[in-house]
Amino acid sequence: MDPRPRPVLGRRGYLIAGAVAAVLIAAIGTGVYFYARGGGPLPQWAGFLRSSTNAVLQPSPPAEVVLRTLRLAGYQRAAVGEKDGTVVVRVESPSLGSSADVALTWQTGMAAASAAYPKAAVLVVQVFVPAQPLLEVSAPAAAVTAAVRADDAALLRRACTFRYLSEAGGG
Amino acid sequence: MGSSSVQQRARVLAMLVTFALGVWALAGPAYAATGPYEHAWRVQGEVGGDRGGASTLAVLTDTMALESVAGGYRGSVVYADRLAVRDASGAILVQRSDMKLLLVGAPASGGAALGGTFSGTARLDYFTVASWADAAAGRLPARPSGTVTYDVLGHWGARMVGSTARGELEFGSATPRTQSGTAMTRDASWFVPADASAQLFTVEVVGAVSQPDGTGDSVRRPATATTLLDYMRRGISGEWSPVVAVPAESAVAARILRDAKPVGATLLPPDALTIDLDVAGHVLDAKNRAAGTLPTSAAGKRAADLWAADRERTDAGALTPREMARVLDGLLATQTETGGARELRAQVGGAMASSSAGPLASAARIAEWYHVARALGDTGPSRGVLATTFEAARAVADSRVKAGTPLADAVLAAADALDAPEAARNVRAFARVKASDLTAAGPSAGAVSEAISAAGLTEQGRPAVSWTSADGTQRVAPESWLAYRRADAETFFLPGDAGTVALTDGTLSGWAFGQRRAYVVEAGRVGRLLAILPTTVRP
Repeated sequence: MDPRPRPVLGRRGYLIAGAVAAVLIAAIGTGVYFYARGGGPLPQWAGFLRSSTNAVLQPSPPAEVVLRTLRLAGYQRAAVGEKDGTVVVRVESPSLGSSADVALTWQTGMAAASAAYPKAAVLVVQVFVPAQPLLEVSAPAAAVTAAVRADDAALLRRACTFRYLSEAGGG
Repeated sequence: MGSSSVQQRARVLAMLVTFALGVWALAGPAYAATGPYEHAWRVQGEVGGDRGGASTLAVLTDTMALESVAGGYRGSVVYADRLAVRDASGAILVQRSDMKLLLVGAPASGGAALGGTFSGTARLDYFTVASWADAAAGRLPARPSGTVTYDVLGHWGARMVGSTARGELEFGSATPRTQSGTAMTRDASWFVPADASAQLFTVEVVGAVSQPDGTGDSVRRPATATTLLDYMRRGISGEWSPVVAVPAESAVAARILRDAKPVGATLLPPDALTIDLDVAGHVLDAKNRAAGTLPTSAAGKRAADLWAADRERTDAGALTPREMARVLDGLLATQTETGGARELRAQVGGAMASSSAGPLASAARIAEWYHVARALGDTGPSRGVLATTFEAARAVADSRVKAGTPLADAVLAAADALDAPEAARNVRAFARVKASDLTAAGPSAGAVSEAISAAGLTEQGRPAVSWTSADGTQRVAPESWLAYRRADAETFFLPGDAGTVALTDGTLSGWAFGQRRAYVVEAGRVGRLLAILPTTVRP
C-alpha cells in the first residue's frame, strides 16, 4: 500500500485548475483594464492603469492650435474640424458692436486655420453669436495663404464666398 | 304667449346681463392675462405710503420663452415697463425700461430644477414730469431727458411644476454701454428691490415632458454611464475621453453651437473639437500660459491695436432701429437675392411692423444683422489681422510645455489629471496669504472681489455668492474669503477653513474680447469648474 497521501487532483486536474485560474486572472485583468480605459473611478495609486494624462502637455494638434489661438483672441466658444481637406471653424463672437467685429472674426478664423492646416484645400469660417448663426465665409486655402503672406484683407475678401446663415434659410 | 310674459322674460334677461357685467367688472382684474415675468425695481422697495411716497408700474411688453434643446435650455425675455415713483419730498422719477435677455441653462436635481446664466441689454429712458397725475398716467414728453443702455449679466434658477418653470432671475452685473442726456447710471443693485428679493417668472417650457411636481425627470436627458459594465463597454469601444469638468450651462451652450445645422451651411465634421465639450476652455488657457503663448505677445498687441482701430472706423454709433432697417434694405439690394437675404429682409420687416415681435426678432438681433451686412458691403480701408493672427497661431503650434514646472503642473490640475500634483490641485496645499484675504468691507480689486461685491447680501449683510448646480442652487456667505497662492502665482479663495469650494480669477482676456469673471471650483480638485460668476464683457 502506498503510504504517500493521494493528491486531490491528478496531473490533468492541476493543469485544468491552472488553466481556469489563468483564464480568470486574465479576464479580471482585462475587465479592470477596460474599466479604467472607460473612465471608471480609480484610487490614486491605480492611476497608472489609465493612459497618461500627460498627453495634455504634448504639442497641440491642428484643431487645438486653432482653438488656443481663438482663446488668445478672447473667444470663449468655438469648434474646429477637418474632413477631406476642408477645414471648418465655427466661432461664436461674444458680442457684435460694429461691422469690424464680424470682418475681423472671419479673418481671425481664416488666419488661424491657415496656420494650423497648411495642407488644407478649403477653409470655412462660420460666425455665430450666442444661439444664432450669422454668416459662413469660405475660400480656397491657397488664396488665404496668399492673402496672409501679403497681409491683405481686401485680397482675402475677393477670394471669399459669403453666405448668410439663419435657422430658417441660408443664402 | 302673451306680451306680458315676453316683457317679463326681457326684464329677467336684462337683470341677468347686468349682474354678469357687474361680476365681470369686479372680477376682471383676476381674469386679466398676467405676463410670465414682472420686474420689481429697487426704488419700489424704498418708497411707500408709510414713508410718504408712491409708485406705479405699468408693464408695456412682457414676453418670455423657454425651451428644452439638446439636453439643456435656452430662452429669452423681452420686457418693457414704465415706472413712476414719487418720494416723500415730492420728487418724481419716471423711468421707462426696455430689456432683452437671452437665457442658457441646464437641468438639475434629476430634472426637477433647472438653471443657468443670462445676458442681454437693458435700456432705461428717464423723463422729467411735473405732476404726479401725468407721471402715473404715462403722459410723458416726446423725448426722454436721459437714456442709459446697459449690458446685463446674471443667473437664473427654476423649479419644474409639470411642464411649467417657476423661477427667478438674479442680476449680477449691469455695465453702462451708452449714455445720453442727463440720466444717472446705475449698478446691478438697481435692478433688484431693496429687500434683495429676486425677479420671479413663470413660463411654460417648450419641449418639456410634463411630470407631477417632484416626481422625477421632467425633461429627457441623455443617459450617462454609471455602471461597471457601462465603463467596461466604453473602454472596449474607445468611447471614453477625459471628463471635461465645466459648468452645465457652458456645456449646453457649447453643444448648441456644435449641433447647430443652419440650412445651407457646411456641416461641421463629426470629429470636430469643441471648447467645453471635448476640451475645457480653461485647460486651453492654462496651456497657453504654460507655453508662453499669451495675448500680450508682440503679435497679440499688434492685433489688439488693429482691432481697436477698425472698430473705431466702423462704429455705427447710436442708430435707431428704423435707420438700421433703412440702411440694411439698401445694402441688401446689392446682395444676391438668395434665401438668406430674403430671410434677413423678412426679419427686419417683421420686427418693424409688429410691436409684439417674437423674442428673437429684437432690435439687438436686427443690429447684429446690420453689422453683418455692413461688413460684407464695406470696401473701405481695413488693415486686417491676417498676418498677426497667423504669426500668433504659428507660435501656438510651435510652442512646448516643459513638464515638471509649476505652470505645467497647473495645466495638469486644470485638466483634472489623476497625476496632477497635490500642490497644484488642492487649494489647502497652496501657500496661505493672509494679506490677500477678501472681506465684505474690504476694497474691491480683481475679478474675484468684483464677483463677491456684486453678489447679493444676506440678512446679516454678508455677500452671498450663489450658483446653480446639479444639486440645486448653492449659496456661500462667509465673513471672509481666505487667500491661498499656488506656485504658479494663481490665487484661490476659500470660504473659511471648512469650505469645499474655492473662487479664482477666470478672466478671459484676449486681444479682441475680454470677459472679467470668476470661477467657482472644487477646493480639492481645482480643475473641476462648478460655476462661472458673471461679470463684464468688453469692448
